[in-house]
Amino acid sequence: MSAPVVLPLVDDARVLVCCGAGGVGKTSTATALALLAARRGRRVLALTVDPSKRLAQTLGVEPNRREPTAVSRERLQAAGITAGTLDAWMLDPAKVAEDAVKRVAKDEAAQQRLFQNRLYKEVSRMVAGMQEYTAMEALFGFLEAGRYDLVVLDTPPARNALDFLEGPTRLASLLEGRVFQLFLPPTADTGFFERKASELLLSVLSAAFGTENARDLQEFFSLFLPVFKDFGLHASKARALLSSASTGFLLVTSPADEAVADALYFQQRTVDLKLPFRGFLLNRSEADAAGRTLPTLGEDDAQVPALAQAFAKFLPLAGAEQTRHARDAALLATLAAKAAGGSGNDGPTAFARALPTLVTGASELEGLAVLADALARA
Amino acid sequence: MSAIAPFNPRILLVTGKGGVGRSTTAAALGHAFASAGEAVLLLEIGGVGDDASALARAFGRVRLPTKPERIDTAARPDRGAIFGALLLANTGHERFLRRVLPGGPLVAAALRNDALQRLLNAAPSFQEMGIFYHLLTILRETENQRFRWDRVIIDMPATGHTLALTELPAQLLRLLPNGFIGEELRAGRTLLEDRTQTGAVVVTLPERLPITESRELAQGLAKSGVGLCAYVVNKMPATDFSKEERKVLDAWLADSPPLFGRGDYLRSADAKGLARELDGDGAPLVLLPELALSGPALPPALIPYLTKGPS
Repeated sequence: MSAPVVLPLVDDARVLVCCGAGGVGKTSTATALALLAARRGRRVLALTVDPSKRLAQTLGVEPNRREPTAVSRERLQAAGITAGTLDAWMLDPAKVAEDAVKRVAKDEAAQQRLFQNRLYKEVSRMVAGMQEYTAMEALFGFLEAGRYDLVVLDTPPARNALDFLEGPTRLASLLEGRVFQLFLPPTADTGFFERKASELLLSVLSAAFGTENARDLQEFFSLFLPVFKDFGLHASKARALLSSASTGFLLVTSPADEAVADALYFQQRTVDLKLPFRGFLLNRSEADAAGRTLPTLGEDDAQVPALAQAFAKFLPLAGAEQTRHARDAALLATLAAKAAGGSGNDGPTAFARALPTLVTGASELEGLAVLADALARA
Repeated sequence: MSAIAPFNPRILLVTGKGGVGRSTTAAALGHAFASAGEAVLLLEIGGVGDDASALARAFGRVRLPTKPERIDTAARPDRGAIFGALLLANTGHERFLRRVLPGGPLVAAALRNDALQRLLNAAPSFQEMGIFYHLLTILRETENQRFRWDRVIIDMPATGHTLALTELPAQLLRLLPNGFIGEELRAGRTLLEDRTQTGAVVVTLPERLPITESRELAQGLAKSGVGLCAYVVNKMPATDFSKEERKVLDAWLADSPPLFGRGDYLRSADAKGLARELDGDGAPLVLLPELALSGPALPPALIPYLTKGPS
């Protein structure tokens, strides 16, 4: 048995980011990591960006709260946590935006004007698009406040996870220099070329959205500019932290070809983006034989016709499961080789570890505690 | 009426939890309709991460083309063929600007305008709006006085993001009720909510969590006004144990050491019951078997189970 590789991460990292394709058990893995860290005595926040509400529900935390909610003592004890604390929060873009407005707006009147703006009301509630900016904002806020030793981030499925990382770059490119000024009504100081460019933009926006909407849009831009700037600034700081050695990216996959392809693609992307890739977690695999053998029917049992007949149908399933075990074990070896080949940054060598299929029938929290045990050994 | 009941609407939104086989199902539907002589267009949302496309892999490709291109090789009757393309925000933005701006020079200036391009890339929901508009233009394309595409099948993103997209037209309409964009959003919304035109196909697996989530997804879709045309339960175990067989096996397994096959047996024993939970939930149930095939060979092998109709 090799030395545990997940424990050091859980003990030392400030941010753990779980990425992977949909349906690979990413949310469960993220939650189990958070449980494990809390069990080790750390103050942990499980933050989910995924619109799927599973994590919060499993921990008995209501969605759509303004702030993280502490997981109840009973639940913590059931999961074997006595020393640390665990909070959970499902990102709510509208609430993050509202907090940012309150922080940034010059005075009460400016705040109210923004809150009353028709566009603001709609835009801040949209999940599509707002999530990526507000996720970085929230992450930055939590780390800055020093309330938590570790934030475990459950990202949306692979493709959207990249949006979330690259969102700040897009925002920065819009806010940079004078670009954004062009969307605002010209002032006395506006130069000739800027005025012309601004007029072109207004005519495009008017044609697209109608003149009245375009004016609303302009007002919205001027009101929201400071908030966006604040988002942009924090997002670049959060991005810097995500690139640092105190962060670990874990790529969760199942043995399915598609999920593995996504995980490998994601490894490449994290390395390209210079993010600290720490390892693969192969979920729901049969890589560990766990003492299983091929079944045989004893002489006495074979005499029972009903059992002999049922066993004949059972046997092919056993063969298929054993084949999967061999395939998953080989896959784990492949992932380990890929991990060793590229870990991004100059951190420790990345790993690949298999996690068992969750026992069916167990309550979700019990299942997560079992997964946390497996992670501690991994 | 469709050649393949219950998949009647011209526009099929294939959705479900991650990893349940949405892309496989979308590809299988494509094969089924093309075999029935239809010109099929398979779409998925493009953008960052285009390199990892399960739908493209189902046709032996790395990614789908940016413009509709034939992606199958089989000889088909009539118009039968499968085309594939990515839905791209940029294409949508460009088509939209061409449509609303008076005259070519302004279009060219707008497309060249760096500030506008940056806004389209960064402002919340502009990406989704572009994708939505690209889709709308594709759905309207005609050729010789008929729709260019007999059937448009969209491999949607996983649950939460599907809902974010189907809710978008209504949300944006509140935001931008006037002007050309308002008209187009209304047209798009009408199309999405017309059950004869658009239907959702919710794909799931015969396992506890996916079954529960697929019902939640169906409720979410109903809220956003999109009709559900079928539940597809993918990877139904091939072996089915009778009540008597289960009784003797359960007793025998209770006395056995850890064995290969036990996990699969328990899963097969539960599968039918779990799938049946979706029965009578307002949409026909289609069961697809777990086949020992992968890659491009899998989707066409599923045709018989789709065309058989509801089980």
